[in-house]
Amino acid sequence: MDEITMVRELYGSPEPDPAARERIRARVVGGRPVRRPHRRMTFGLGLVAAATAVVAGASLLSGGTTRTPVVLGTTGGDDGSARSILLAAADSAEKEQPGRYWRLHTTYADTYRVKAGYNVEGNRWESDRWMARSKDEPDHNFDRDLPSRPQTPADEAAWRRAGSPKTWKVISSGRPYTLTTESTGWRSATISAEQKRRRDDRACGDGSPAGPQGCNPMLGPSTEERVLTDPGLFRKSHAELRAKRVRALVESEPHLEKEAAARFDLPIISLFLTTRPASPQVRAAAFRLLADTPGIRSIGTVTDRAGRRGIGLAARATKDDGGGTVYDEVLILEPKTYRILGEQQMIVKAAGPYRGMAPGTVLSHTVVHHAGWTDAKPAHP
Amino acid sequence: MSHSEKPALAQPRPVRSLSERFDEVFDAHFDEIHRYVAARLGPDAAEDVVAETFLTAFRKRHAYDADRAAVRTWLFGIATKLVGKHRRAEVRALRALGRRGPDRPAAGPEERVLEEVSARRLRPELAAAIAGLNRGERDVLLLMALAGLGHDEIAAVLGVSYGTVGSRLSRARKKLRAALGGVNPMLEEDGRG
Repeated sequence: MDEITMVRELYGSPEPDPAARERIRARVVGGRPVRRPHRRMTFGLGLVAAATAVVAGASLLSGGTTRTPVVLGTTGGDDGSARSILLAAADSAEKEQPGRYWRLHTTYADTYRVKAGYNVEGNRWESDRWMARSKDEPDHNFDRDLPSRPQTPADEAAWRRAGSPKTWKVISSGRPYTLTTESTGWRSATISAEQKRRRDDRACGDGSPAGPQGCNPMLGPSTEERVLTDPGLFRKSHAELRAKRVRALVESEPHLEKEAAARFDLPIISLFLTTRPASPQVRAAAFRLLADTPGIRSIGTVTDRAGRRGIGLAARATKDDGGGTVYDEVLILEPKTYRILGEQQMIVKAAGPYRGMAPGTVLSHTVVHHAGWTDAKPAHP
Repeated sequence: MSHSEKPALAQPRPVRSLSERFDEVFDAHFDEIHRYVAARLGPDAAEDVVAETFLTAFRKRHAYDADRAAVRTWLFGIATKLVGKHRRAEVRALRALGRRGPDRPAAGPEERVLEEVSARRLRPELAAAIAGLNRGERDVLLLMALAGLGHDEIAAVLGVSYGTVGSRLSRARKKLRAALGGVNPMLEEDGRG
C-alpha cells in the first residue's frame, strides 16, 4: 500500500452533509459573519482515537460529578522520591526470571461524558496475550469486548436517574459514536511462527518487502531481538525515537518540551515495559531511563479502576483537543514488588470538551492484571 | 476530481444574476470542498471554513467569470489558505493520534490485525509524520490524497509551479516513508491492552 492510499484511509471520507450545506448556504447568502462562538476543536480524522469524548453540546452543561480518591501532587520539577521509587523498580526488574511466555493480561477503557451529566466507560476491552519467548514458538491471544458502564457509583446513580439507558450517544474524535452494553465472548487466536515472521517482514510502510535488514537499516527485525536483550541498544533506540518525536512536538510549540515526560517518556516506556518480552537487564534499563526523566513526580497512593492501591508516578500535560484541559499521565506500581499495575490519565483541570469532569476523574485507563514471564500453559482467564 | 478534467475552452455563457450564479457554483463545488475541509479539520471547524471560503469567493465574484475548472481550483485555494489558519489545531489533532494515546487497540484476533497490518499498525506513526510535515508539504499531500487533485491542479490551487508541487510531494512521501519504515518495533505496538 502506498503512502497516499494510507493517508486516504487514515482520514476516511466524511459523509456528505446536506444539513451543513444548507446552513452554510444561508450564512453565505445572508452575508452573516462567519465567526461563531468558539467551539471545541474536533478531529477530522475518522478514527476512534480521542482519549475522551462528549455528547455534542455537553460542554455547555456541567453536572454532578464524582471524584476518584487520589492525591494530586504539584507540577514540574524532579522529584527525588519518584526517582528512588523507579530505581527500586529497576532493581526488582533485574531479578526477574525469564520464562517461556511473556503474558500480558489487561483491561482497557476510556471515559466519555454524556449529556445527562455523568461519566461512562466505553471501548472496554480485555486482552490476554501470551508471547512466546522463542521466535519458533507460536503466540496465543485471547480477547473480548466488555459492556460500557457508568464509571463510579455516583455515575451509576445518575445513570439510574436518567432511566438506565443501555446505549449512549457520544462524540469520539469528533464523530458520533454509540456506546452499548453489548459484549462479546472470548475470542482466541494462535499466531504461528511463520505468521510472526511474516508480520515482522511486512512492517514496511510502503508495502515493499523488507530486505534482510528490515525496512530501516538501523532497526531491522534482527535488531529487534537484540534491543530486547541489549540495554545499550535499547537506550540508543529509545533516544533515537525520542529525538524524532520530541522534535516533531516542539517544532511548532516549543513550550511543550516540558510536557515531554507525559507525552512521550512515561507512556512509551511503560508500554515497552508491559508489552515487550525484554530481558531483565533491559527492563531494568527502561525503569532507570524513567528515573532519569525530568518532570515525573510521585503522587502517593492511587486507587486504580480495579480498586487496587498502588504507588502513583505522574507527569503533567495539556490535552491537544482539550481547550486547556490539564491532565496527569499516571503510572501505577504495586507497593513492594514495583510491578506495573496499570496506567491512567487523570483530570487535573477540565475544560472544553471535558468540562464537567471533576479533578481526579480517570480519562482512560489500562488495568494490568498480569504482565510478566510465565511457564504456564496458555489459557484464557 | 479526475486529472483529465482539463480546463474546457471557455464557452460564452449567458449573463445571469449573481445569486443564480452563486447557487450554481455553490452546488457544483460544495460537496468536494466540504469533504476536503472536514477531513482535515473536523465537521465543526469545517462549517466555519467552508462558509468563509464561499463568502470570500462571493465577495470576489468577478472571478466567477473564469471557466469552471479554474473556479474549482480557486475555491480549493481559498479553502486551503483558510485551513492554514487552523494549522495549530490541525497539527494538534494529528499529534493526538500520533501519540500512543488510548487508541482503541486493533482489537480482536491477531489474524485480523495481520491482514491490515500496514494500515492499522502504522496509523499513529503516519499521523505523527503528517503533523511533522511543513505547511506546504502537507497542503500538497492532502490536496492530492483527500481532494484527489492532480499536479497541475495543485499548482494552480497553491499558486506555485508544477515543479514545486512535484518536489514538495516527493519530500512529503519520503518523510512518510521514513516514518513508516522507521517505525520502531521495539518500542511500540498497536496491540496495546
